[in-house]
Amino acid sequence: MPLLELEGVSKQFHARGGKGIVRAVSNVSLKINAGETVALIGESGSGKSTLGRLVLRLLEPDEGAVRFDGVDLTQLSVKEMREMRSKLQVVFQEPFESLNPRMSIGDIVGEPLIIHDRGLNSDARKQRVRETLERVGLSPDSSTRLPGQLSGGQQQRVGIARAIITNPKLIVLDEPTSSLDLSVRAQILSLLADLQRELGLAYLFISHDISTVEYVSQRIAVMYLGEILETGPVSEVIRDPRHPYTRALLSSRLSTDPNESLPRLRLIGDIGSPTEVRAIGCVLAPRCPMAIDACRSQIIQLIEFSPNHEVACIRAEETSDALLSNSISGGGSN
Amino acid sequence: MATKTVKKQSNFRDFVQMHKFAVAGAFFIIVLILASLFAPLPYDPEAPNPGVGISPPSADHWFGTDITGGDVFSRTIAAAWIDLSLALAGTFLSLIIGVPLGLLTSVKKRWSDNLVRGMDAFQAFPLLILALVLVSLSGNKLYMVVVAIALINIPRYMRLIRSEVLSLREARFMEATTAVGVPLPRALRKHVLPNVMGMITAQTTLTMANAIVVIATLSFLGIGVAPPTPSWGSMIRAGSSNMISGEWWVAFFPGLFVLLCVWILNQLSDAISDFNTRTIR
Amino acid sequence: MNQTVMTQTLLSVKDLSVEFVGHKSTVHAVNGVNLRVNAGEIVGIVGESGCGKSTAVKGILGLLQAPGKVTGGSAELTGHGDLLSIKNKNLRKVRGASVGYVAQNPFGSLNPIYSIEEQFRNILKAHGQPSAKNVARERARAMLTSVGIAGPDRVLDGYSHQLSGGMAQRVVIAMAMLLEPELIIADEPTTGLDVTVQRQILDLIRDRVVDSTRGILLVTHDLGVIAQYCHRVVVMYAGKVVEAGSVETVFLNPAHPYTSALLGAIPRPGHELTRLLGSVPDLRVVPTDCSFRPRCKHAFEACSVSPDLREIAPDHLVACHLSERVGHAAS
Repeated sequence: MPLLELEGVSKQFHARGGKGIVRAVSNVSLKINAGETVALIGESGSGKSTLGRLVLRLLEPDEGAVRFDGVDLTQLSVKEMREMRSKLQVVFQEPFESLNPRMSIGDIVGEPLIIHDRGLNSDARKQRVRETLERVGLSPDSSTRLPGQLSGGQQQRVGIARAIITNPKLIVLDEPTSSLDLSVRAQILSLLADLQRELGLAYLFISHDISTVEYVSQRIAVMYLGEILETGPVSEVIRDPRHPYTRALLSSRLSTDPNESLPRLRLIGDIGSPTEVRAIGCVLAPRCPMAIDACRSQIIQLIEFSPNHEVACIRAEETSDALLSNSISGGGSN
Repeated sequence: MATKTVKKQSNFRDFVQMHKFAVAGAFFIIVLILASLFAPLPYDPEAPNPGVGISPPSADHWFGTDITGGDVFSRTIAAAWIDLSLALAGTFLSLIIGVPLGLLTSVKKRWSDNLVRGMDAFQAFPLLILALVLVSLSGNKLYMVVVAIALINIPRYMRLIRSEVLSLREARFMEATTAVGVPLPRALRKHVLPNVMGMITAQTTLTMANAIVVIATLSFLGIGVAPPTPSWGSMIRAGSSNMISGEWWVAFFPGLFVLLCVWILNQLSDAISDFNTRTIR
Repeated sequence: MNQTVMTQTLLSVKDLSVEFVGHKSTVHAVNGVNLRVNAGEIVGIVGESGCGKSTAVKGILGLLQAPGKVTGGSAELTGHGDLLSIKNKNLRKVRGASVGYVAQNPFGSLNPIYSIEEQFRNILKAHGQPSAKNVARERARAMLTSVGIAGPDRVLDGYSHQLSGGMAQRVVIAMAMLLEPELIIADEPTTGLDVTVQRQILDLIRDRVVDSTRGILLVTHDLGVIAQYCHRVVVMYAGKVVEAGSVETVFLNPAHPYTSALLGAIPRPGHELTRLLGSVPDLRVVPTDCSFRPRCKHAFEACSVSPDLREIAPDHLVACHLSERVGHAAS
């Protein structure tokens, strides 16, 4: 049984100004096994962060089931869900914003214990906080400080300490390194890898950065406008992407080797609007150089391309760099 | 992991160091209240002294005397007690009703929206006139002055707290709090309240300044604190007729004290806001 | 990357220093930075936050906000003299006409209350160029088309809030290029944009210099952007240039331990990430030793004296005592 299983999860929002609806997440299914890292990759508006919040039930899905350890979280009462949260944690992108600026580091990291481990007395709790701070590479003395007195990397370590102190099984990492500097990012990624090994954690790693995803995860799900377009083992998806979007995303990665340049594939124009009503057809069709009439008139679903590798593209067999770059349309349109 | 060695503490001593002027002002107001209560005044503030009549500031009468021969200095200081204690009571009443109302209406429910809309309509009414009517209808009861101040300031508190709490609830750390499983009452107590305290304190000093002006306005119009009990508003009114004939001191000194108090409180409010945003960095 | 043969210098910055003077302390944000941009060249400045890269270009452009102040050095723009000693009013003329500026947040550069067309006209007016409605519109339309906007009329009639981030950045680039400046300074032009849009924008910027007499100074924290788009690179740390040279040389044979550490911090499957410990030094104190010394695993006695930037090979400058040790390569 997978640790986390999403089945047909959807979430809509009312668009700002009351015009139409935003289909933030449409009919998403995903599995995460214990101890595994699954990456959710996508650009802005892809719905990847919304999906993370649906997993944590920080948002209620409109449809679908979120099963964690076999329990459908959407069916739990507020109280039952609160108890479940000790096993299901989160680290956010903005390290400073996700910490109460007027609470000491010790209080922030110790708070989950007050909620979930009521038997613990104050001394024992402080001891656990000290141990956890050390485990994430912070000095125990930092417990008396305020978040604003720490650097960005240290603040993110505090966020991680708060997430692991209740011994969770799954942590949703919502772009945990995106706002950090390169050298700090490397420190945090190494820390997350160490913690996963030591504590047997499973991660849902939300990111827009292919290099990071390739480094940290075993499986990957590529999202675009609320839908998963391709999913499979990270090595296979990156070596042989079958969805034109995945291929374009990979080719947008900039190698740090000046002599290596990746194929230049461009999607046409900018990311579409999730407010557009679209009952059938592929979400990428308006931007896809490979799109044919059938892409706009059929219902497109994820289908198995090879074992564990699913692609939502009717031309998945044919996808190639040549097909994509031949039809490059220069620049963007509105 | 290297940690920065500068250790900042958000305590009172830092505040005093950073805002010496505002602190000196606050000290002045406290001394003023104490003096009005306990200090031996040179003359009885409520006793007329017909023998003296109106006279300019002198060594005997520092702020001069008014038309009844009353010592303006003694009266100005004595007025501080009644004016400031009424202002304090009004502010306190606004605070203890306005803040809970603000917290309550920050829940996104239909009734809270309605309550806020009702308060908006109420605020559209000229509140000073309402206060005036209320106090005079009650037959110049002083407690009604306190009620009037609260009526004017409760909607302001409510709106301010509500909008602050609403934006705080959107804050990422509140989302983190939910993800940790913190129940709502604890979240309000441990996460929301400490983050609005500074704003409440700053608003309270502003409310106090506003209350002083309202009280002065009311007693200037002959409502609320009535002579012979000294109050700054009624003293200004009594002195205003002397202004034309060049006897400026009767109205000037109580006016100066109103100005000073309001100015100091405004400065103090700014200082508190500033300190409040600084301490988290 | 093609090596450009043109060597006409466009911009030459010497000993640039910027300080932020506070009540109690002074932050020495930029300390004696030297750099050069030649015609037909894209020069990248790279470094982590707080290294002074943005502050340096703002100093060159006279865009520093108080209490930031240029305290020394020169920035010679060929044909216009030292930008740092030009008076405010004339500097505004040079900016736009001879130096275009593209900031990180395009919406900060666009005025929300004017239509895009009016903003193009305002630029022409401010620089005393023909700005009649039809003339201005024609020039703006041509410029928008050249930055890859397919429907320029719709954009011109609209307002900034109607644009996506990528479109807005294209508009800002078009505005920066309207008067055909010799030099464009772009400060993290693609940082807030999505990856599939980023490359379109960078291609666009590069197309401006290929086979031209123009030059670009590109500030970024993204090593991939430098590797793929720049000819030469300047690596900054703690307000100083620690390494500079052609991109191939610096990226393939980094000579400064900080450059090596940065390159090693990029996640690659199967590679251990370089763990650069510690954090950037406090710029309130002027260090007498090498500012990277506390974090450097190669530090030795000589590092107690701040190293000068010296040429270790043609077009390869390094500020590190290790490079003086014969045959040593930092790793």
